[in-house]
Amino acid sequence: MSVKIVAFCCNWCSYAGADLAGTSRLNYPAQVKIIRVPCSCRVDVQFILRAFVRGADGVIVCGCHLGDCHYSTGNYHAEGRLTQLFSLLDFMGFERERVHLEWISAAEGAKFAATMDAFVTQVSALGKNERYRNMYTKAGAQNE
Amino acid sequence: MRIGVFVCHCGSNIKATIDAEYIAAQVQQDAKVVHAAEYPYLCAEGGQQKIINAVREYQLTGVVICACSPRMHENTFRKTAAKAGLNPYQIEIANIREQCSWVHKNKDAATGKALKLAKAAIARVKLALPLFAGESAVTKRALVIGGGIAGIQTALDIAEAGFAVDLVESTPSIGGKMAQLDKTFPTLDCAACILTPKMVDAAAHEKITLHTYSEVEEVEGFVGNFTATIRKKARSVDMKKCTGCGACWEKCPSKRIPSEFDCGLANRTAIYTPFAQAVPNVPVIDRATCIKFKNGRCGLCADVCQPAAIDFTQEDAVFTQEYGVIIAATGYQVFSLDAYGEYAYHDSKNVITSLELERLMNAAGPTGGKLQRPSDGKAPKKITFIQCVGSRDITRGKPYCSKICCMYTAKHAIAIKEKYPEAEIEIFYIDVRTPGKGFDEFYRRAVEVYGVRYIKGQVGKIAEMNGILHMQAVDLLENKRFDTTADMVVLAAAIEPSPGAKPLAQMLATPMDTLRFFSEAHPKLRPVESATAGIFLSGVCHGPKDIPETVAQASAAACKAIGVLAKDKLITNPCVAKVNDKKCTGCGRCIDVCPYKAISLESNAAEANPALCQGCGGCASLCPSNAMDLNGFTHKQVLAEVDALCR
Amino acid sequence: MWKTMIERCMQCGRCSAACPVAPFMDMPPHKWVYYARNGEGERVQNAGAIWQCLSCFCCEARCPRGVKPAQLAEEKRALSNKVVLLESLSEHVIENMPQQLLVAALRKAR
Repeated sequence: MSVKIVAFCCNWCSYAGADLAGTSRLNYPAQVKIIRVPCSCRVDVQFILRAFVRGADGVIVCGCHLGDCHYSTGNYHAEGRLTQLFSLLDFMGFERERVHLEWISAAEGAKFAATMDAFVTQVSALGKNERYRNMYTKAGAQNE
Repeated sequence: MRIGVFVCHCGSNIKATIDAEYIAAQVQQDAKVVHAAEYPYLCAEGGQQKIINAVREYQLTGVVICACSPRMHENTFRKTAAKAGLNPYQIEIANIREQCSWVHKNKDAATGKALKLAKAAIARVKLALPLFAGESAVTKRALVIGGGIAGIQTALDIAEAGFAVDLVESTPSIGGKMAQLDKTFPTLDCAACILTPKMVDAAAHEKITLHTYSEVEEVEGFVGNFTATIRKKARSVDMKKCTGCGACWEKCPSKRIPSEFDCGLANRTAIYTPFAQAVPNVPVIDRATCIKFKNGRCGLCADVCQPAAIDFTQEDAVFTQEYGVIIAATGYQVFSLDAYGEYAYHDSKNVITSLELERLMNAAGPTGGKLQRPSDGKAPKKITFIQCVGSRDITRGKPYCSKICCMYTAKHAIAIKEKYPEAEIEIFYIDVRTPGKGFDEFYRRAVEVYGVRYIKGQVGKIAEMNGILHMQAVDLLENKRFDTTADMVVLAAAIEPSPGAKPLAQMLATPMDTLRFFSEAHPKLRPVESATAGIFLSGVCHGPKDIPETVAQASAAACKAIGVLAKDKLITNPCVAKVNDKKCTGCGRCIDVCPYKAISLESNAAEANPALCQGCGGCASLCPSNAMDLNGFTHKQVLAEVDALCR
Repeated sequence: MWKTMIERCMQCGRCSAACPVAPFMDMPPHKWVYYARNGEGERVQNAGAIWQCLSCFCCEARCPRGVKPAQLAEEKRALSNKVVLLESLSEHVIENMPQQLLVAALRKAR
């Protein structure tokens, strides 16, 4: 059973940290697939929910450490938004452990690899996401 | 849409793990992919030419490159696309090296993931619109933060190129750590003799404005258009009137303040210049220790000041200024030895750091250049040096090598032997690192000509008994544990970034590593630029280095800064916010979230200024009407990427 | 810190310099780590030095790389299945033995 993980990484810190994990030849599971965004604040809740509807089992959002955002305040907005998302997920009855927010700097290649490893383990313990897979309203399905 | 997909082998970096042929074959199943091929090195001249030829031959309207990280070659391939006649923003890069072949060992899994990443990039490029870069103006003024040798050199180079420079230094004088040194390696030049001419040049240059005893409080903006707020702390002395005669500090009754410049080995007065060659040669009153400021009594300095330059009512002056570029040159400090109790640094006056030794050896220092034990003033007959105190230490200290200590200790040994040929010197080392020009020859002179004893080993513990320092040591080449004594011990303590560096990095929104050194944009190819455009790095604030390297880097940073200042316009990033004004309800939430104040309300719809917008996308994700979007990372593009990856 | 403890050692010698008993040892602590790293663990096990170790942990406290020579000594002692019969020690030795030696000899004294 192989869980699908989507990782949204901000260009300036966490995506660079992921690249550093690569130049350092560290290993983490291949189920993790990274989407580059300019800042963690670009991550719309829509993107995260869409991932689950399309079959992702876990979504992780990575950004710069608080205070170090390249756009100064972006990661604070990301944090606020994700906090609200967690409440929404609880309300929906969806396991909030399938979504994670982590701050990883461009110098933290090892942390990136370790975080991905740990998240895959965490999501694997929850199993595949069957509940929200392929979930569309009739109107939504027509737009596909 | 006619898409071409190019899969790079990157030599064996990608090819060894990922089946490039398979990917090139599979992506052609998409009807819109009209051409797919793989090459050994796409970024090289030959590879780029193949892309250009393919664009023309197959009339491609979109290009996908599966190769190394876009952080590496996105600009390279954008230029390639432009040469081929394609809009540079209709290319997408799939990162199948740093984020695939280099991190996954299983070939099937890596190839499968690489294919998904390629398909995600294809989905993105299908939705990519041509984008056109805008322009922004450049303020032709530079801000250099830090007035040591690095900041001074950078300021001089930029000023020589014809641009105005503001040099901000937090202490009362420029000069930094180099002003505290006695001699420099490997030439044994007197540090002050080579530094002071540069200090004077910096002060005299018509294009350089010095702001000493000042600090940067806030920075806003972006490359070409920074605004900084600087606080000039009150010196309590009118700089225009003061002649630097020294009558004030001669008369000052508050004489027992440990001098920062002399590392606490001598005292200064409350009104003082840090050292005799201070630039500017204007004193400051340290209000925390000045009797008049503490209890209202005194004012002797004002009484004896002939030009009436003393002004007790002077206040801090805060000003804002626009700059095109900012250079960080905040230097270093010697790290605290609190965790190293075994060396008795705090218990014995005769255990000192190398910087303290520099002050003792310096003719302008607390002992007039006579090497004396701080406890009793006697000349030490035997001196022991201990290397790597706090460096190369992952448990209590710094994991890095501080780089300068092997050389400066050899220098200290030679300098002491020159003055006191009978002195006995031993140096405990782990390795002797002498990589620079003339460095190894210099160290060998210490051993072969001056008879300095280098012991491969370390000292475990020091205790002062009856005025003598007793040490437990080990000689690894003799494989013996032995006891030894000395009259004075010098510790080569680790160096670390100045305390002001971290708050500055946050003000400049520029990254630092976990050790508080500023991060360069690329460790090999871009060592003097930070990841933030318009911010450059000079000196030890970037990483430990000696004076020749610092000066080299300072000039390099100046060169990069001049590259920006010399332009009349900068090309701005076109991946900026755009509004669909038909959907916008004018709620204004985007305006509040923008860190650059780039959005405004124009006739009830938001408008994003492309010159100010830096493309973070915060506005796009919180727009409740889906009216705001981000070029290059549109809603549709990201959703398409998600779809392709999750399938 | 992906490397194991033994591999991190840079042979600086601080452990041996700190060890209070090292002048009396036939093999100082830095050499135990060196031999263990080169696959010559048996040389360490046969050394008398590991029995002189007081387990005072000065070596571990001073090591800049987080290496644990005292732990290595204990491993080697445990492997050797040696046992000390207290009745074989003279009164003088027992009275003047540092307490730490008793701690180090735990499970090995009878």
